[in-house]
Amino acid sequence: MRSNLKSIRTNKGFTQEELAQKVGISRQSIYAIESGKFNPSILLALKIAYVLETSLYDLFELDNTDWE
Amino acid sequence: MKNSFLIDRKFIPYAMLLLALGMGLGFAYLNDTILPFLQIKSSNTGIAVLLERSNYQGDLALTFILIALYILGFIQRKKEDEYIDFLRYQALIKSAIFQTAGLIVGTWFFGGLSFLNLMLMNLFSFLILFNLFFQFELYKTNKKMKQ
Repeated sequence: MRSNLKSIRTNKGFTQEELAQKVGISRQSIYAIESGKFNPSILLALKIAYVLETSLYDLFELDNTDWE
Repeated sequence: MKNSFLIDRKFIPYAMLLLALGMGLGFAYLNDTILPFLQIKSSNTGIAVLLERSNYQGDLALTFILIALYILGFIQRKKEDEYIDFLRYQALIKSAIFQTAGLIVGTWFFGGLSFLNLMLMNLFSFLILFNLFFQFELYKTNKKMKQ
């Protein structure tokens, strides 16, 4: 799964720390999602999308390896 | 994120105290220094025969260390979330793999008293490995975040 979180977050003017606080998670989580080390649950993904006022489809994209 | 098996952070000092006490008692036990109140008076009757021991110091040391390691491993982080849970899960799997590998290697390359000593160390190894892997993964993430 490819994450567009970093670009959307910076476009909206959030730092990792600010976004983490708004969503109620650690800054490490935001970093891990942005760097592709960790795929969030649907609940967490929806919370991030809500705070950034965007959709899940904009935040995350399937890539070819997800179908293997 | 709430996990019922996690332990409140207020128990950290108690865990450190238990660890220090357990290690102190353990070292004393290994050097044949047994505290008088932990000795079993009549070693040929009752519970001493049942448990096949002359004192409780080793048992107490092991219990203190195991409880302390468990508390330190499953203490709540300041910010508990899915990613911390994910790291904890990964650390558990890695420690299970390493402990199993250690057991297999020990079975082949150790015998007699050395094997018994290895089994004794094996009592702690899972929790020690779990703590090490979990803290190392957190440290790695924090380091990369700062770069």
